[in-house]
Amino acid sequence: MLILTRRPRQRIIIDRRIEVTVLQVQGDSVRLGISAPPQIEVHRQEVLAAVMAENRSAVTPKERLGPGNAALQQWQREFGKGGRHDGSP
Amino acid sequence: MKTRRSLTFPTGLVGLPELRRFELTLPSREGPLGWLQSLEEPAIGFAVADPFWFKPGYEVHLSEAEVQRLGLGGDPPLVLVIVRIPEDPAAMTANLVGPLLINPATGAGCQVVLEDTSYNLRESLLSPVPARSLC
Repeated sequence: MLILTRRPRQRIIIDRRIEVTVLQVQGDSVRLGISAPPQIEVHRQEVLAAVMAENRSAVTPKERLGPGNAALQQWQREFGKGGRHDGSP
Repeated sequence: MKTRRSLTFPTGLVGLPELRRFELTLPSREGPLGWLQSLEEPAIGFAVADPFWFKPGYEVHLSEAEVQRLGLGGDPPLVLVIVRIPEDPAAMTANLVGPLLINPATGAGCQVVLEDTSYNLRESLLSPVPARSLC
């Protein structure tokens, strides 16, 4: 890991095209601005890690598809179209 | 779209970047769940669903950059979410944070990660009906 120290308003350039600016330091929070070409995705690490973990846990044996559909159809019969009727948008 | 469709995810799925080719089977009369089968790993497949069916207000806001990156031209994308079906199917949940966006014209797909939303990673599909509607 490359470790650099920056002050507010200073910048880091990655691969000559991704720019990270330290906008503000307040307490134990750092506000960063990231400029990158559109094909570059930028995410908070924990959000990406959560989706990654959820993808892995969502791998389903195909045998469960039938019972899954059956459960949803049963739900539709009992409560009407859609899976939720608690008024939530 | 045809009932079965070959899809290509150029960057795979989040955490599974090597899985790029899939076969999507759209929902049939059996129910609202479709199936996304990895063509590279036969043991890997996912149940998928149309999120608007169970969450009518669901919105996927893409930035200009993302629209460009996904190569979405004129046609609106097909939006599907991955549904995790545990042993008890009634406990199934949908991932609303990482929807799958598919370009219907080209079959190119991508998993988008929505930040800054209050959507659930595990949105229950078969939640209990609240008491007030059981009168």
